Amino acid sequence: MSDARVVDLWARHLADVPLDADDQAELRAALARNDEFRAEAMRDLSFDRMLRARYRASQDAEAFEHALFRTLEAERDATRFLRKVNAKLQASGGRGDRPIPALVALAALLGLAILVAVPRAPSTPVVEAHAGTAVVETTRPVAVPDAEPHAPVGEPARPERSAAAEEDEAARAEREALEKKLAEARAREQQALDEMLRRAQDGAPPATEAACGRVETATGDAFVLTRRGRGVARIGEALAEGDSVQTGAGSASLAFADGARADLAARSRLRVERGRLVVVAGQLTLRAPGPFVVAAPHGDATGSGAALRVDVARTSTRVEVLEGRARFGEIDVPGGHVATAIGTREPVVRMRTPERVAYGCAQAAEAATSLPIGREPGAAVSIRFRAPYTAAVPEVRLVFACGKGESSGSGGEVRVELREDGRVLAAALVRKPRAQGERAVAFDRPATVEAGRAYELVLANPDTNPRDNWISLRTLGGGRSGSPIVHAVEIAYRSAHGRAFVGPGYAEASPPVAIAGAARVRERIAVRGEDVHVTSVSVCVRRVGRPGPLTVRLEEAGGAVVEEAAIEPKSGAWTTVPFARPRTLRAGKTYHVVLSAPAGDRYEIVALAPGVGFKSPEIFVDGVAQATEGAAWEDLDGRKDFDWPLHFGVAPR
Amino acid sequence: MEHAEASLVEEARKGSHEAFSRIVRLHQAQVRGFLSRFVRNDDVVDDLAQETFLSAFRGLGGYKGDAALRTWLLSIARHTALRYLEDLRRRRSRETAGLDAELDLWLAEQAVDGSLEARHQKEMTALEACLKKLPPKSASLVAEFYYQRHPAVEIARMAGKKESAVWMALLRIREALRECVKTRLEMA
Repeated sequence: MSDARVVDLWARHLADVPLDADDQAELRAALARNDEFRAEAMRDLSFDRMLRARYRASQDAEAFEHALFRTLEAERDATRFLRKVNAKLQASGGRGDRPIPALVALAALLGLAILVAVPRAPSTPVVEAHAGTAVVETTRPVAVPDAEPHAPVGEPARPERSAAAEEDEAARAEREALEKKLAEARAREQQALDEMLRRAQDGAPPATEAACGRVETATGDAFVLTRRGRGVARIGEALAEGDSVQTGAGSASLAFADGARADLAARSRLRVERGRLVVVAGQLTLRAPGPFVVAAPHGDATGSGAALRVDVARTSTRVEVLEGRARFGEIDVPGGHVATAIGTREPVVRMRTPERVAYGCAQAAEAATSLPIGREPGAAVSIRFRAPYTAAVPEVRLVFACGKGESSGSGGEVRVELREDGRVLAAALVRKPRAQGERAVAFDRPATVEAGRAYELVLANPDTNPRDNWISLRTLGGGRSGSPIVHAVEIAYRSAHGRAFVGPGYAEASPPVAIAGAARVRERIAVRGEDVHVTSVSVCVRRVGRPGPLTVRLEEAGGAVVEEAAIEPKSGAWTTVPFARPRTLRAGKTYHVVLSAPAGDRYEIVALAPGVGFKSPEIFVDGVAQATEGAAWEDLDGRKDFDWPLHFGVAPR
Repeated sequence: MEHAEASLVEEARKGSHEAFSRIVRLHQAQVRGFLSRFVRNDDVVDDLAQETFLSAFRGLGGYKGDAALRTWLLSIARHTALRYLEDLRRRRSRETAGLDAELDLWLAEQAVDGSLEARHQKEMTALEACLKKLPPKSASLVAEFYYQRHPAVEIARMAGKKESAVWMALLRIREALRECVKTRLEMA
């Protein structure tokens, strides 16, 4: 192709970018006058068609088969019916091979109506002419010798008038019944045709077309694409096989007849097909109580009774099983795991990182309350949690509090049970909790938990004298202070695809540090991994006296202020400072959150450190607690693993 | 013809819809893919494929088993497509037809003989191998445009590229694939 302009037009056209009339004319002229260009263009076009053919072959297969089989079924019914009519007429009328013309016409009309009424793939007007061709061919079997009994070969044909005169009462009754049946069938088909015409006129969803789902919610740019065209998604709008839902900046929630619910994220596209959903692009979250098939470019995600999230990106498909289990292609994906297929490589399964609810240290020692374990007979500590993985739980990690008022006598014994609906899945006994240097408690047998299901960790004191011999479980944070993380207990999960510890991880606290005048504290944050999009910052401090406002400032490493606010926080509880707009903490960059207050009465803040042996992802490895008395900033107690109770709110994915 | 397929044909000849349904399931992807080489509009492709199978069902009695069933079906598909295009030609002059329809007609003129059925499977196999050799970015673009059906304009927007960069990239990828397929077929 030599002419750059024409080549550009050609490439545009094959990329489905509309050409205006002038451009089309220019391209047409080039194709007509330049043989070399036309030959090259045809080779390119042929290849474009091959590529379309390659992908087309795998799409909408079930919908196509379904439509074809319905057409075949209709044709069979029409053929059988016409044959029967012909045979009956021959038998009852005794006219040999001369059927009553009106009935034959009626039967032919019926055959036509059945075929026209059968839903077919949408077609251009030209293709509808083909449907007409099919009808003509459908009527052929009438002339074909059929299996139904004919009039006896040797019986002579009788004149029509005399035949009518001789028709006996039974034959007339039979014919009338047949005519009635025909009339009824014609009325039914007419009804179907009327319905089709009504559909064509008002564009409303057909009552006869099986709606398999509907739009539950739609926000922002969300559209439904049907055979009738594209329209803004309306709440309650029915979805039928072949329909697609597409989102721009918005999102949509869909409900299906089988009880499944699907949430389509922004910039996504989903097609509803018979018995399956096809994620063309973007992200789909599906909660299916029954069997499901979610098709994606790298394979089908299948299963029954599970919740999963399917992300289709440019070169990869990611299937994250939130609850239950699923298969991605040939690979089993347990709950809490994610399978990722990139390019032409086989999917790889790994344990997923629990969704980040906060960036920072989201516990507060100010709200610490050590819970006595079984000080009263029959009393126990119960920690409820929802398993993030389908995995074995071989052990838990926890901290016993042995200080004054936190334990008594020998400390008793602590029986740890993992339960589901009251049933004990695994148990362990800690005989001398006061002497326990280790905080890992191994179960007698690993219990298997399922992602998304609720479980209970119960700690009881089986000591014979629990009033004198007891110990406490140290907890940090909790609902009272509004912390998103509740208990200082870490649960170990182990699966074939990895090992994870989930829980807060923080266990130890420093003495209170003052914030007043030159005494300031800051969290130094070196962002690792990827960018973090944050919307607020929360802090937990305690007031001593009546201090002035607490200033919370987010600044870059060089001191440039990103956000700043003066607040009057509640004592011992979390206070959240929303940002004026979402901020992005860039990976590789360092930021500070500085807390300062006027001289005089003061605020106090207590730093936290990870528990020994704890590996939880909730431990804020990007941050370091620092303090100053007015001179240089220093790490608190010279430690790199201390954090202030301070965290960012993270923008939802 | 394989024994299993032969017995399916035999059962379908006797009127078994179940057997014919299995034949459809076995060959629908091939037939629809093959028809996509003649006609660009997907809905028309499905209509023609339906027409192809209906014709095959009615004409099974005439199928002698000399050629593979697939080849026989593709031959019906080709005739169905050409009949459709001929109809199109009669109804509209090239000047009044859309550019796509006009290009369909250009292509059809090159497929009047039966050689395409024989070539189709070989070419598609070669294409499959060549697609696997594409660099990741090109493979991604092909998947986005041809499989995911993202408009070129949207692909450009998401990639932060000029629209023209996308359609010219698609053109060059097709050229590269064509060369690859040609080489493979020559070597075979």
